[in-house]
Amino acid sequence: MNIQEYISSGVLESYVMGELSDKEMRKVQCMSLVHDEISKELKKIEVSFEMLAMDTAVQPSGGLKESIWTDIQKNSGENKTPVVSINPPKNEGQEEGSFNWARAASVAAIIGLAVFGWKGYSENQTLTSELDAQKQESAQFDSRMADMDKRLAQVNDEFAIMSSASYVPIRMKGTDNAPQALAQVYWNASSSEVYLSVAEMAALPEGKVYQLWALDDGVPVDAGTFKPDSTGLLKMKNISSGQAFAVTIENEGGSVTPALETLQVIGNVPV
Amino acid sequence: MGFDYIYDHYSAALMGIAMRVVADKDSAEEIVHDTFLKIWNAMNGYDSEKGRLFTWMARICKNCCLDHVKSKNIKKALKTDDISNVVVDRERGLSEQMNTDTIGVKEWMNVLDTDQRAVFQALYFQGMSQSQAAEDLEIPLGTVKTRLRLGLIEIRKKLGVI
Repeated sequence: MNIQEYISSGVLESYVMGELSDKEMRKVQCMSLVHDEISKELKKIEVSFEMLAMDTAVQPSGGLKESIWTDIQKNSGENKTPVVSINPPKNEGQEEGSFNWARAASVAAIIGLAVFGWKGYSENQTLTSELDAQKQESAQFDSRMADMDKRLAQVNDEFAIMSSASYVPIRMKGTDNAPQALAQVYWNASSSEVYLSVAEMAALPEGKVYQLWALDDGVPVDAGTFKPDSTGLLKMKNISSGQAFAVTIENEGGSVTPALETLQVIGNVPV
Repeated sequence: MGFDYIYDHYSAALMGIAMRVVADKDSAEEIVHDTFLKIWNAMNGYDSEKGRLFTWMARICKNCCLDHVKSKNIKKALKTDDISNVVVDRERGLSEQMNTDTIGVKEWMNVLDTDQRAVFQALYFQGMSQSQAAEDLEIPLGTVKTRLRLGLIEIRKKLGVI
């Protein structure tokens, strides 16, 4: 299957919007596990829908939170795990003066106690393992939440930068060296802050990095290095003045002057 | 943490989704209410490997919207004996227009061309399924999907998620 065609078909957007059948959804999940390109595109689509939803959010009334929470508590009260009742074994049939009955009864009692003991033990075991499982789930949930919190805060920060009027977006397009390459700089000229978003930069051999430069009256000024697989917005070195931004390939650690013959992308600061 | 976190971070975004489909605030809040109960009960079913938390929650919210619209239309249909109202009524042009204007979405819709906008209107604002949108707009299902993709690419350019 042609991956580009698969992506262009719009199936990933449909997946994110929950428009696919279970079978089709599983297929998308499999495809994204196998093809990195699909998984990356899927993440971008998810982030876009999320950003769009955040940007078009509507604050509900103040009382809604409380009313939902009350319902959640009410429901969890009804579904509370029932208390396990443990009945003592019955001592029926124990008659005075009857040796056989007494013996039978004591045997029954022993069996009863053994059953009771085993039942109690296994119920206890089940409850303990259920509790452990719940604790584990709850811990996983907490860490997932913390992870989401971090990621969302990052997305929100990125979104704030990308949509802020103080940041000028500078689209750097691929040169003949790398026609497919694409990256975007967000530059705040008054605070000198520079952020970089890597859209499409080829993998590099061991020991090489990309280096961002600001061109100030034709003089390249180092704005920091980055790896091609960087995601999200990268904070680069501050640049106080420049008319264009460009990226070259340099040795790990970066260079003082750019290897211009390796120029990958370049873009002018809009006037 | 749990509930406070999810509610504080996502309720407004989910409310936005509901408002776009049902247009009135009371109904939208009912939907958000149902959505959170479902989210809460199904939390164990969320798998972060399979996508972002918000994507998962938005799907639940969308289903709640559809349930709401369906039950409302069924009630209306039972009253008026008009079964053709069931699911989605295309003659909601006026309220959609109001929705897009009032919820700051207009700006996003402006980056789309007419064809893409029609698809977004149907899917994003009227809560139609893709096959309903295809039927409604009289275009093949594949075209709905590709217009959705091309439209979102325009929006992504604006968001900087390229």
